[in-house]
Amino acid sequence: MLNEERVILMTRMAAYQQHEGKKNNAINTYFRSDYVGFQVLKSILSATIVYLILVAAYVMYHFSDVLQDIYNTDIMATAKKYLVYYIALVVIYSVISFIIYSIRYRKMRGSMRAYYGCLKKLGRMYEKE
Amino acid sequence: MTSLLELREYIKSFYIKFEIYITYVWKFFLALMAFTMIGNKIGYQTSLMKLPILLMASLLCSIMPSNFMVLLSTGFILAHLYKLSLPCAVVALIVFLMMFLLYFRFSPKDTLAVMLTPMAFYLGLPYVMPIALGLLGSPVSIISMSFGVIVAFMISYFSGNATALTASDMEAKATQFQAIISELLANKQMWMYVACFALTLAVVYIIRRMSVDYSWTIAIIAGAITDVIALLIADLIYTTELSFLGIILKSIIAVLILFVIQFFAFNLDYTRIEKVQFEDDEYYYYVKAVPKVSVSTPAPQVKKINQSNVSRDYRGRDRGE
Repeated sequence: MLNEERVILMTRMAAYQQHEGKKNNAINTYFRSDYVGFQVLKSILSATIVYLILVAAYVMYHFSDVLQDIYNTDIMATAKKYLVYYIALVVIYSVISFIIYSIRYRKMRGSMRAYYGCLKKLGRMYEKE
Repeated sequence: MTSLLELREYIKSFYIKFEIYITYVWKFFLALMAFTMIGNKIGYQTSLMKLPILLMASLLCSIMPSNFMVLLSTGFILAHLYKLSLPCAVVALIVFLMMFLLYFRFSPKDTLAVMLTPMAFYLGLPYVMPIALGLLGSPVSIISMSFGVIVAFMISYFSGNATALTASDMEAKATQFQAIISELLANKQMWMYVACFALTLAVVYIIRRMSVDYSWTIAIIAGAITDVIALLIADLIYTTELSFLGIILKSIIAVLILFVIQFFAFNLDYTRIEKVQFEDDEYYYYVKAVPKVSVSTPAPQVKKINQSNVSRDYRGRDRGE
């Protein structure tokens, strides 16, 4: 016989799996440190790309000035200045992404816990029969 | 009012019933509108302007996730601008890359706002956007809306200066690149819109979240007033030649549109139809779970006669008379 209550519970769980669950399962395969670390790494990469784009745009914008001053600028000092900008950008961006992804991981754990709770409930229903 | 509420319930139940198809249809039309607008503004790549191509691209957008629409629109913009001149395309590419790399890694849900804001500008009703996003989104939407404003101004700059923006040799291209960037960055009106819209969105969001009656209505009106005042003050300070009357008229139209949005979006707590399949030891289940919809039937009208007498009687009894 069909157990209606059980079908309802299973339907709810399957619906969860179909939407949020897929994404959360992917996150759940990582440890917290691995997940957040990997995302921060990606952020560093994208910040680097953005920085390179910005520097390229800056050089193109001041093209003639850069060409004129190329022999009488202190290359070390300029490089240091740009390095500081780069590090500042990367650090700020990494911190932001660290916070965001930590929160996301915690949220995912919460909903996974609820899902496992439902699983247990379902298991008890089967045992009762 | 009751018949309007019934109409809303009817539309809601209709929407829940045919949600999948309606989503396809509105995405199709939104994409078609966006591509046509891009074509109208900066349609330099004539092969991308042909109707079959537009229809095919829109059809593709209707079945793909909505972020794909944004991606394809940026592709269209870049293709058109490339035909106009290389520096224009490069500037647009820089803006888009920064947008996707820095921001949309975090909140891919918000992407559509970037596309809708320029569309609202094109339709002449930009004031709808900050209030609508404040009502439906979160404070983070400020970033995507700001990008949208920048994109809108960038495109209108390109379409307005198209004849001056065709350079052939390398040196001319370099100077053109400089000119485009400095003119875009020096566009006071653009930054003014960014700041005022951000302020409006924040105000609307804060008021909307308050636990007072009619918070949505208050938020809409307060948002519109904030927007108008902020824009006028900014206009006075920076003399950006905004039309005084235009702002107020357009804001009023925006408020009317937003009331319509509010009417349908307020309490948008509908749950969708779920089609799931699973199995246990005995059965395979193919379940279609349909949310219960309560369509309000016209309430019986009770006419109260001698209401004032009744209330006076009660007060008398309370006092022990």
